[in-house]
This record gives sequence, C-alpha cells and structure tokens, in this order.
Amino acid sequence: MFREFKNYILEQDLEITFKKNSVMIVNYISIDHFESEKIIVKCEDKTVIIKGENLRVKKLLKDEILIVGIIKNIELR
Amino acid sequence: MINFLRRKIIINAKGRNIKRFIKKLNANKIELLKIDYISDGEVNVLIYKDNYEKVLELKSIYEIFDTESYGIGKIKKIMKVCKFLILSFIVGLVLFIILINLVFDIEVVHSDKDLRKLISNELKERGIKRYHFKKSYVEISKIKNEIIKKYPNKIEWIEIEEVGTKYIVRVEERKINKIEENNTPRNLIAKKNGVVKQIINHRGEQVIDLDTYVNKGEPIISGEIYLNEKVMGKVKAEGKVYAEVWYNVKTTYPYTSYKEIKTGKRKKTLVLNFLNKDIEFSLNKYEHKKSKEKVILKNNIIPIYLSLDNQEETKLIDQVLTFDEAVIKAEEYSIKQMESKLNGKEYIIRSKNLKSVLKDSKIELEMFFAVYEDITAYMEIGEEDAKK
Repeated sequence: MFREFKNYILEQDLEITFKKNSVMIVNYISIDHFESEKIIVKCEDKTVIIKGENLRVKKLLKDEILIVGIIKNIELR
Repeated sequence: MINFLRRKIIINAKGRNIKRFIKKLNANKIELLKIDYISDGEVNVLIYKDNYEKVLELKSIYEIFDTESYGIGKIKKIMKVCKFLILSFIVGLVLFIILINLVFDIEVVHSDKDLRKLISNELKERGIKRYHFKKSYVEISKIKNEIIKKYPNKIEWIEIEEVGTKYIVRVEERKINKIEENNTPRNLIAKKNGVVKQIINHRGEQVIDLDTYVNKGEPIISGEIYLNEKVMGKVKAEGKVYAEVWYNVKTTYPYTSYKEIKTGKRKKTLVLNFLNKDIEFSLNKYEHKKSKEKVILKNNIIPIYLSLDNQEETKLIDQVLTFDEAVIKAEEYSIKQMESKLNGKEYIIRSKNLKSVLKDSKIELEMFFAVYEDITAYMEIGEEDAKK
C-alpha cells in the first residue's frame, strides 16, 4: 500500500502512451539508439524499441520523451 | 506554473548529424521542450534559458543561434515593446474608474426652494457635493438618517438615488398642522347641570361660587372683565370646572346565566379551514373549547388553510340567581358601566338603588349616581349673544 501511495505521489512507474503517429514514454533512463527507422529507449528494467519511418524526437525532457513519425512497431523487452 | 513562467529560448542548431547532437544534449540532462525539424541537418529546439550556456559548451561542430524568447523573457520583451500602450491602458483604466466614481451633479427634487437649499447644504456638509467621490450605500443610509433626525419637524423622508454620475435627492416635507391660536373672547360655561365643586381659573372672571347649582350653558368664568359694572375688556376665558352631576341610570340584568369553566384538559389538533368551516382531524372532539390557532399552511388564492390548534376543554355551567343576587349583580354592572365613562379626576361620589323590578326573568334596576365630573365647556361671547 505504501509503495502504491509513493508511486501515486512520485509517479515513478514506466508509462508508454501510444497515439496516432506518436509515442510518449514517461520515466525512461536514456536513448540507446536514435535513427529515422528505429529508436531504442532504455527504461529501468525494460527496453522499448520503436520501429517506423521518419521517426523524430519531438520533446525530450529528463523523464519524458515524445517520439513522432510513422510508427509501425513498438517492442517491449 | 513555475515552468510556464521560466525563461525559455528557441535555438537553431545546424550540423551534419543533428540527431547525434540531440542525443548529446539528452545525455547531458538538457531538457528539450520542443523540437522542430526544418531539414535533415537543421532543427529549432525550445530549451530553458538556464541551459543555453551549457548548450553552447556542447555545440562543438554544430552552429547554434538563439532566435526567440519565451516565458518571463517574452513577457518582458513584449512589455518593453508595448510599454506605451500598456501604460496608456492602465492610465485610461484608472481614469475611467475615477470618473465613474465621481459625482458630477446633485439634484434635489422639491418645489420648496428653501428646503432644496437646506438639503443641499446638509449634503455638502456631509461630503456629498459635486466633483467628489460617491458614497457607499452604508454611508448614504447614515447621512439620510442624520438629516431626518436633525430636522424631525421639517422632513418626513429623504431618498438619495444614484443615477450614473448624478445623485437625485427626493425629499418629502413633514407637514404639521399648526394649531391656530384663536384669541376670540369666550366664556367658560357648564356642559351639564350640577353643583359646582371646584373651579380652576386660568383666565377670566369667576362669576359662580362653589356649591352653587348651575344649569347647562350657564357661564362660570366670564371672558368679559367688568369694572364698576362696565365691561372694560374681553378675554379668552380659560380654566377647568368640576361639579357634582346627578344621573338616573336604568339597567336590566338576566336571572339566569351560564359560566364557562376550564376542565384542565388540553390537546393539539390539526384543523383544516375551508370557507370558514373547520374540519378537525381528531377522534375525541371537545364539545366546548377555547382554541388558539397557529397557521401552518395557507393558500392566498383559495380560502383554505391548515392550522395546528391548541385546544382547552371547557364546561358550561348554568347559573340561576336569586332576586337579591341578581340585584347585587345588576348594581355592580351598573357601577361598572358608569365608571367606564369617567376619566382622569372624575369619580362616583355616591350611588343608590332607587328601584328594582322583576320583569320577564330579568331584573330592571334604576340607580341614582352623584358623580364628580368635569363640566368645562366654552362659548364665544358673540356666539352667546347670537343664541340669545
């Protein structure tokens, strides 16, 4: 319960939001790979691989990244 | 909110592998709030102004230009450019507020010029004047009360109405019917027949002695001043005369009567009244009762209402009096009736039962009363002559 409460306050969990032609990842750690066809984002215990065309980073904050482009595949490893 | 106000700038970055540069910035914990790709080798990035120096340090082969400010910086920039416009707006707003709160005209509505002037002066004294600020509702109420209190005989009510930048003051003058002093010479005369017992003479010449029997209309204090049996002058006689006046009063009193006595039982009952007819919601209704009505629901259109009545049970007891008892009751009743007609210094000197007769189950009583009574009346001297 305490963990849930702490998470509710601090919002530490990984969050991936997919909308048409954009993916928002909250609480990432770093960008491992950055190309027009593939972007690899490293999170705490997972890695998110986004494949598509003309992929670009639209917003890049400390804990938030917004990727836009023609998204064909999102892989969570 | 803090981030919204934080100073931001848009930088233009050019280079061969711009994505690497973005990655580099990210690795150095520089937040990129918005990235617009112009071409493969050119981007516009929105960053916090604090990070700008750091970006310049990291630029290496990339070309960096700052293009536009946001946040507080942008506000400052806009304010600098539009300072005259903003200043004019503020000055205009302040001026507008001042103007709508000023009084440009005061109109006192009344036909009497003096009263208008009086009200205007009073308002001026209390700060309601032209080219001065308007007063609050509380202040105006206070001023109105003060003026009314100051002139209770002149002003009935006053209303100060605010119409735009003008005060319209409506006043109603208090009209007191002045008692016209009439100095027409008059005599103080007897209102009734009686034996004079006290004369209080304020003005005029006393022409009747105490313990003298006077007839109705006979002068007691004369307005004509005599000297050597010659009228030397005429005054308005004034005073008070008390006399012993005799009355014969006839009273009838019933032999049988009833008395209403409370039994001590009481209850609350819902009663519906429709067209002056009571419909009581109770199983044990009192045959005789006294009720106090408390209306709960009422309709103003239809004559109907619901009330919660406080009822007290009463009993009617028939009383049959003996002849003597009936006479005593009749006497008491007669005295009470006489006393109710007296006022001030007046009182019953003595009374006597003259005759008591039984007629149709009623007592017919004839009582004599000698009453100490005010018999003062006035008659103008000319009027008296005219009557003669």
